[in-house]
This record gives sequence, C-alpha cells and structure tokens, in this order.
Amino acid sequence: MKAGKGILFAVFVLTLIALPSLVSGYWLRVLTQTFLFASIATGSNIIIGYTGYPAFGNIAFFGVGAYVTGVLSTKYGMSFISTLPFCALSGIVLAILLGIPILRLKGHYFAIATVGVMETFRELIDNMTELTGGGMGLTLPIMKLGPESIYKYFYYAMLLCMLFALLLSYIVSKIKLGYALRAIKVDEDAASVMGINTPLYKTIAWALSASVVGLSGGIYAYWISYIDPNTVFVGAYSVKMFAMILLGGAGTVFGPLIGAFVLELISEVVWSKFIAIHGMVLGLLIILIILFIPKGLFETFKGGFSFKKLLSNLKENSL
Amino acid sequence: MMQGPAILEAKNVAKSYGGLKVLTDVNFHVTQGEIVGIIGPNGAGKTTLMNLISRLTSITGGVLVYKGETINDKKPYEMSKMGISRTFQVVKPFGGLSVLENVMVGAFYGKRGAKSKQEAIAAAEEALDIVGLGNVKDRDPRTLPLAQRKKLEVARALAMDPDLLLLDEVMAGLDARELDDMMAEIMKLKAKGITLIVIEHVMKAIMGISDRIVVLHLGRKIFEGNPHEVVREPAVIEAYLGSKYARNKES
Repeated sequence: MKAGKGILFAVFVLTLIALPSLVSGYWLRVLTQTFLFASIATGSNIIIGYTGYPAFGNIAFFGVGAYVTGVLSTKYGMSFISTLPFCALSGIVLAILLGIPILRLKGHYFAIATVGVMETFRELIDNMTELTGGGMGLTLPIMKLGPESIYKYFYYAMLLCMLFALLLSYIVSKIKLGYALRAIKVDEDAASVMGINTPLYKTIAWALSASVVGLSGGIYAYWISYIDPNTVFVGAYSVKMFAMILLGGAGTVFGPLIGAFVLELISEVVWSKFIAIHGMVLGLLIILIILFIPKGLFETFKGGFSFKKLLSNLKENSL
Repeated sequence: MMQGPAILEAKNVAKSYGGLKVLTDVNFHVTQGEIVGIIGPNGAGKTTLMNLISRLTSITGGVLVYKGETINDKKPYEMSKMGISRTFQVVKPFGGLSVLENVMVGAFYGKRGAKSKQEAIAAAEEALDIVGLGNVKDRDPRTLPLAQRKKLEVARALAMDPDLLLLDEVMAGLDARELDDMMAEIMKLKAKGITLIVIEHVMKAIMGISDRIVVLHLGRKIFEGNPHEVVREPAVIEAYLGSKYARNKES
C-alpha cells in the first residue's frame, strides 16, 4: 500500500471508530449493516474475485455461521464472543468438505452447485427442529446492556469483522498464495503445469472466504437476535454481494468494500422507500455495471472520473 | 552426439479418446542434455504427446519414465516439482499480473520453489534477462506483441529451474530476425545443461537446433534420426515435408 492510500485508509477507519458518538441509532444500524455486507463481499472476493470461482451461494456459510452462534448460545449456554471462532471454523470445515467435490466444476456449473448447497442447508436447518427450532426460528439471548450500548457494541463488532476481512484479503493478495490464485483464475491448466497444486489452493481460497462469511453470520445472528432459515439463507443477499463485488471491482483488495458502501448507502438513502422495486433496481444496476464499468469503480476510475471511459467501455461491451 | 543417461523414456505410449486413437505405440527417449525435435503434420499428435509428458492428459497405454521413475499417475504440479516445465502453443499469460509477476509464479511454484518474494523476484529477473524481456518487466503481458509473449512463456518456464523443458511452437509466427533470436536463446539454454523437447513447424529452426528429430504421423512415430537423415527419409518427405521441400534441399 502506498503512503497516500495508507493515510486515506487510516482516516477512514478512525472516522468509523469515532462515528458512534456523533450519529443517531438509525445511522448506526445502517452502518452496521454496511459493514456486514462489506465483510461478506470482501471475504467472498477471495474465491470469486481472486480465484475466479463464482461462489454464488456463499451466503450458505453466512446462514450456517448464524445458526452456529444461535445454537451454541441458546442450547449450550455459550457466550457470544466464545461462539465466534466456531462460526469461522464452520465455514472452513464446510468449504473443505464441499470443495472436494464441487471445486471440480467451473464457471456457471460451480455457481449453480453453490446455490444448491445454500438451498440444501436451508432445508436441513428447517427440518432439524429439535436443534434449530426449524421454521419457528431461534431467539437468541439479549445482552444485558441498554439499547444504545447494544447498538454500539454490534457496530464495533461488525467493524472489526470487516477489518479482519480486509486484512485477510490484503495479506492473501500480497503472499505467494495470491499469485497462485490469480494464475488459477486465468488458466488452470497453465497454473497446474507451473507447479501450482490447483485443487489444494482452490480449497484454501474457498475456506478462507467461508471463514469470513461464517463469522459475519455469527455476529449478525446475535445482533438481530432472532433468526429463521428464511432470514439467513437469502438468495437476494447473494445478488447483493455479487453486485457489490462487481461494482467495486472483483479481485481488488478494496473494491468489494467500496462496492458495499456505495450500494448500501445509496440504497438506504434513495430507494429504501420503494421496497417493491428494490430487486428490480439491483438487477438494473448489475446490467449497467457490466455495460459501463465491467472492471469495477476501483480499476476504472483509478486516474479520476471521466465520461469518456464510460462511453469507451460501452462501445467495447456492446455487440 | 552426447551420450548421457536417458532423462525421459516413452515405451509404447498410447492415447485414445474412446475409439479415436490419437497416439499409438510411440517409443522414443531423450538423453540428458540434448535437444529433441518433434515434427509432423497437423493432427499428428505432437501437442498431445506434450500434454502426456506434462501430465495434463491421462495416458491410456504404455509407460512414461522420467528420471528412472514411472510418471503415468503423476499430477502436472508434481511433474513441475520434478523439473519438467513447458510452454503452450496458445500463449497463456496470467492477465492481471505484470510480466515480472507472471514469471515469479514460475519461480514460486516450480522446481525452484522460491521461499521469499526477494528470491522469486531475483529468479524472475534473471529469466527475463535470458530471453531479453528485462525492459518490459512491469508491463501487462496482454499488451505485448506475439514474439514477446512467446518469450514470456519461455521465461516463465525457465524461472521454474527446469531439467527438461518442453517448447510447443515457440517460433511460429516470428519474423526472420526474431526467429534467429529465439534459436540463439534455445542454444543458450542447452549450454546451461537444460534438456529440451521442441515441437516446431518452422523447418529452418528445427533443423538448426535439434540433435535428433522424431517424426509423428497420424499418431505413430514414422521415423527418428538426426536432421540430415530426416530430410532424406522418403516416408518423412511423403507425410510431411513434401517433395518440393526435398528438391529445394538437394539443389
């Protein structure tokens, strides 16, 4: 990271740390939600953006993470914090077990298989009523703090989760592993011939990505304090996550974060009043991104904003 | 000719896709330190043979022995650790990584197994200098002209520190000057002790650098010999070179 960028990032983080004493509970909630999606998008970017495996159903790990915290805290009396390592671990273990068969698939086939995984977990948890409460859902213990403090608590918890995701993504981009993943993305045969154990590295990438998504699920469950299968295994979250990654720039460290902030804040301000068309706007946005900024905001406007770039991208991408 | 131990041996190697036989009972060996050329018309099975040696495709018959070990069941990344590296006929640079970073991947994961970034950078820069790409190391490889992208393929393979290097048509599409350049570079690699298998259609090149040439036709080896023997062999002229080439050679 260059010095200028480092300072910019430090200012950004310090502002986020200071904000809770400046803004209202409503904005704390909006920002906590933004951190949540920034974590999911940044974590998923490791398998999607770096490695080129479109894990559309990565939200499966979010749902499982939420239920790990839910079950451990309600049935086994564990504290919130002590459940979190298990959320990350659940993602890692599942990604390794599922990766062995599924990471043999490529492109759309892999994407569809991951969606299948997500639906399978939704059904499983829906039917394990004894443990998970099934369709009735699971009510988590509420912290013995005032509402104000609870807001702040989860604001900081989610902020930490997001920073952890960023740190992980940054480290992966810098080390040997990152080179292997980017090689796999471009050409798996060439990568393999160059000595990269492709099945192993793909699995590592998915496990790292799943650990972040699982962790964010655990924090979400305690924050929202009530979960049921339909509120944590949400197909629409996958779409949102993808839109954020594409908007910010797949395969960059900060792209998914930027995508999450832009999309989440705009959607809160502009079209949260029109819930009915939310999905439509998201779809339209994805089309616009692919036509005008296929490389994402981060790469496209590195040297500053210009309409010329938008138009030349459109020319290249239209038939 | 050099007489060292065989580094690679193919015994009755065969490859078929269902009923389609792409290679049938191919026998040849490569001696440590020599350059073996492989020629033959399109569809003769040259690239398939490369894919078998680098273990990208499964072997359906016979045995491949590398450094005294049967490699039929090895994975491509295991072969690279054992010292085999290759280039691709269709060049495959890793976009999103600079020229230098492309070569670093080879240094990290090939037989060299660079432990640190510094070590990988040093090895990559050395490989780029050997092929003469030192001045474009920070470029995006997708913006390089074909001749340089082919050299990048070679540099990437070199950074892996190979004992046996497979070159798949690295000279196709090069102009006369670039061709001479590439031939000189290949001879430099040989001088460094690297054994090479070279697939090539450019006859001038393959004749100029090969110690021995294996001729494939319709998946079978139809001849093997030194360059002089190959151009005089009626079966080779019939299948590949054409009588016009032979007459030109004679005159």
